Amino acid sequence: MSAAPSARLGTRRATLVELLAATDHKRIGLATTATALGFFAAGGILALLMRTELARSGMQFLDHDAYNQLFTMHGTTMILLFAPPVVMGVATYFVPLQLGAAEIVWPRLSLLGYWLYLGGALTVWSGFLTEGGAARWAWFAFLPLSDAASSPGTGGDLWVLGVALSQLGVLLLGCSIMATIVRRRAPGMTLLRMPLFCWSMVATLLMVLVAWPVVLATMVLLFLDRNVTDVFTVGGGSITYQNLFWFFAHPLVYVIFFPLVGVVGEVIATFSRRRFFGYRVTVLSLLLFAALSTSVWAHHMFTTQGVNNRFFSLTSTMIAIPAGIEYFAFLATMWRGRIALRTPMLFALGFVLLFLIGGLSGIFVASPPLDYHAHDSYLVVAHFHYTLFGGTVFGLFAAIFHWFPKVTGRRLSERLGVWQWALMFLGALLTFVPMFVLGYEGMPRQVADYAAFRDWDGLNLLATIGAYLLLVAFLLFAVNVLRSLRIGAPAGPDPWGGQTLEWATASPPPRHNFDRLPPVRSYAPLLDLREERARAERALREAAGGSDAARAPAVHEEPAP
Amino acid sequence: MTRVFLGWGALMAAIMLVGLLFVGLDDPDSLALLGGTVAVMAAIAAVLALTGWGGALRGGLRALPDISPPTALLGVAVVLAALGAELGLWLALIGGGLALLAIGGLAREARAQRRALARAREAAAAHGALADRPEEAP
Repeated sequence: MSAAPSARLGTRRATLVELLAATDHKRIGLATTATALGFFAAGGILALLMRTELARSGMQFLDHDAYNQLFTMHGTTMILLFAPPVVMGVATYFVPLQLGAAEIVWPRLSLLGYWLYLGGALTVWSGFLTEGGAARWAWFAFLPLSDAASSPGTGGDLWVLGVALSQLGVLLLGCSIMATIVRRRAPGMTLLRMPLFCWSMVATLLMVLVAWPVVLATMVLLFLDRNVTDVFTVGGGSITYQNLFWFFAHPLVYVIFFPLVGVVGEVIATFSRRRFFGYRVTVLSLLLFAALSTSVWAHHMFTTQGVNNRFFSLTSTMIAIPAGIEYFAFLATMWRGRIALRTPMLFALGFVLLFLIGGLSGIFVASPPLDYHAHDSYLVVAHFHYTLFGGTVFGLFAAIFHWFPKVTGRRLSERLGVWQWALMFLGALLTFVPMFVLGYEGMPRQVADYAAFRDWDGLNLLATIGAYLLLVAFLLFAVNVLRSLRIGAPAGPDPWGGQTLEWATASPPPRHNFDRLPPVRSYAPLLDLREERARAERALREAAGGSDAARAPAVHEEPAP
Repeated sequence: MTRVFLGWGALMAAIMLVGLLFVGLDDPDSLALLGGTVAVMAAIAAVLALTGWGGALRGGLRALPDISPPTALLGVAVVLAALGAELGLWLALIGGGLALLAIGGLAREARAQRRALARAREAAAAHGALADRPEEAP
């Protein structure tokens, strides 16, 4: 037990209990992030199995039932067990640091959230160990496919319970982060001086607070429907289930995306050596984006005829407005900046480019007449993989390469990082562009096989080769991390010339984060300090050298090589 | 921060109104979900405004355990209890028992936390320091 401010923990290796039951937000954040990355690897293996099966027409090594389990668990793992927890993990680590806080608010709630997430995720995967196998109803579990008559078995029930537990964990992690933003900002850190990442978390958590309780209720009702009594049959039926599920699942896509908009904005500002352009407008656009994102869920249901297509088409199309504002802010920040193409910046640019493909294709499927054509085809698969892979995964790697030196005190290899980026970028194009063509030609999603006469073998083979390129890229990342932990160059407190408070403390940060805080006068307090120092140096030179020195350029800091 | 919740709720209300007035949004599921969102935001804003929790807390002493094994145990217990709904009452009972143990542990932690805080306050008072006085953010 320690009363803050306490002595920092020593550098000794943590015991198992300290790792599993720590209340330090950094350890909870690391545990959550590492667990989520573990599930990312597991979900990726499932994707590779599916892509290998689809490389040629005809069944190769899976049967239809196994394939159904694989795509269900791949989607569930990536969308529910990897993406929201990983952004919560990163935020649990960095939001208190960026706010200048000594700890997170309600650390026990955060720790409980981690354990519920882990337990729930293992519960979902334990379906593979049951006699009938795992759930086989895709990650959205539409009724009546997911009711007890159509999909009996323990694996399905474990899926329902696991999803409920894991998302309850995400909700608790989110509550803790939101409470920290509300209550633990450093002196001077007014709302409009919070870093962009913190604002992106505010927008994210507003959606979490309203959407996550709905999925908890939906999973309880689905469990009752499967095991006790007909809930959705006597209620609004499958349309009500879809309304409830998509009210959670569409904001979920943005819960994954917004934090990485914040990260990418900060990375672009840092590596353009400029203040983020249009901060206030971007903050407002994030809040508008979040409100619209919570109002578009039924565009997944255009073909059901059970919702107001005009309203949901309108809100879905309007999303282009805040998204456009954010893209312009990114571009304007880079404009006339002294851009340093380090690995985090490369991943940030990859995010901007690939998400653009996903976003633009989203405008088409936001239109009901076009959506009727594209619904349940590979076009939709390509669209959401560009938003989720191009957006989430590239943004996540921008965050990892940006903050890895802060977390470990060591740098990742730039050379390996650039190779990883190049392979990922090429792999993403090779895997998902053919899916647009396949979808346009009518290949349905969630099928284990396709007829040879449709001539889709070549495009599917390309997509499979792309998926293996992605595997190589992720293996390179694993090598890079292991290499860095052993022989990586020491990073120092601020290897990039960062602008926010986390760069004002040691790497890795001590138990209570800061020994002392710099003054906070804007959303980029460290940039303020550097500019003040540069002005002071110029004034000194002026005083010493007269008017010639006054015309000399200000001192600029380049990121370390 | 209260204004953020309130403002965002107002934004959601505006979107719902556009749907109601101009686009013919009338299905009860959609209205309930959008209306519920507005109500949740209004409720959070009201709680923050009434309790004064909407502003940042500054200074003061806080006690925090470095580890909390009962919290981890509670997480495991809740998972086991939930799994009991599928795998049998025996597992639910084990989960319930572990949850009771964990709650007992949390109560002990809370007591130790209060004592540590009291000791720290006494020490701070002895040194004439200002202890545990929250300030609102500007």
